[in-house]
Amino acid sequence: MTNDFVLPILDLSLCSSCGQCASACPEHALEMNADSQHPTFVEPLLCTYCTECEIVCPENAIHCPVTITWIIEE
Amino acid sequence: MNEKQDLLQMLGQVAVFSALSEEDLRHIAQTCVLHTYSAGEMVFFEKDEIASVLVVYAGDVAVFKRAADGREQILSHLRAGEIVSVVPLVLHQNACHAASGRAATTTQILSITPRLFEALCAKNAAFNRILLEHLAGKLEQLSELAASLSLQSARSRLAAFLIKHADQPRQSAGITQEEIAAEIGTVREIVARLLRDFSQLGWLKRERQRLILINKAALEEEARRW
Repeated sequence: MTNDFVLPILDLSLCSSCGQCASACPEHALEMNADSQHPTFVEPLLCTYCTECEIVCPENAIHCPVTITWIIEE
Repeated sequence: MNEKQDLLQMLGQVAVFSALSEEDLRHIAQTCVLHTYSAGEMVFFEKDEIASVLVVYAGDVAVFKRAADGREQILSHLRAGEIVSVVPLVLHQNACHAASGRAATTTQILSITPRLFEALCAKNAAFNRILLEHLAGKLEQLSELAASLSLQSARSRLAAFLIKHADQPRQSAGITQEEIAAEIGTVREIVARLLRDFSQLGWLKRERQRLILINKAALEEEARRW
């Protein structure tokens, strides 16, 4: 059994704490941590890997890598 | 087998050295250095002087130009047996790298002295022939890239990229929308919008970190559009 549940990768060294990722998250899985001022997955299970956070990040600090495959015909 | 014999055997397997005599290979083995780079690590930088001739022994080096706003365009991928920055090396003395290079996967690079490289060029016609073939291949590849960037839409370039990428038997790591954008000459917002379009058309589906291509005929038709 493999665990396919992965989350977007946050590179906090690049993060400028602008909060756009948290605002863009449609599921509110990602929010800004009041103490660290960095994004945090407060509800990780709600993340659908929609990549909105990756798209809006002006610092390219969020990565949602994907593999690209053909569908397997049955 | 000792380390030196291992290296000699390795050098004999590198395409660009395939025409060299055992004596030449031995000479390279005595002076070359093998470096290993992790995925994402920079191998060389644009405008840096070419202090040594770099040959990809294993792995993949993404060669790219970066604009002032940080946007990148991947020009080519150098894989096993290919020489880094061969054009400036042949054209100029004290040449500089015309673009930057980053290891796309774990990559091993052989480094040999420019003087030895020049000596090999000067005395070995077969070595020059291989270099010429290498240069011709690069020219053809860059011509195709120029034509694609100037004549094809981002939509068609993305379809072609998805097909090419999905056809690769082994994908060691995932690719981000930023990286796809750098490959096809656009920005990640456009990549995201086009992927959504393709998904709505039923050409692909997204399953978390997997993009699954469904409609091969439609993607191929889009990729052929000029």
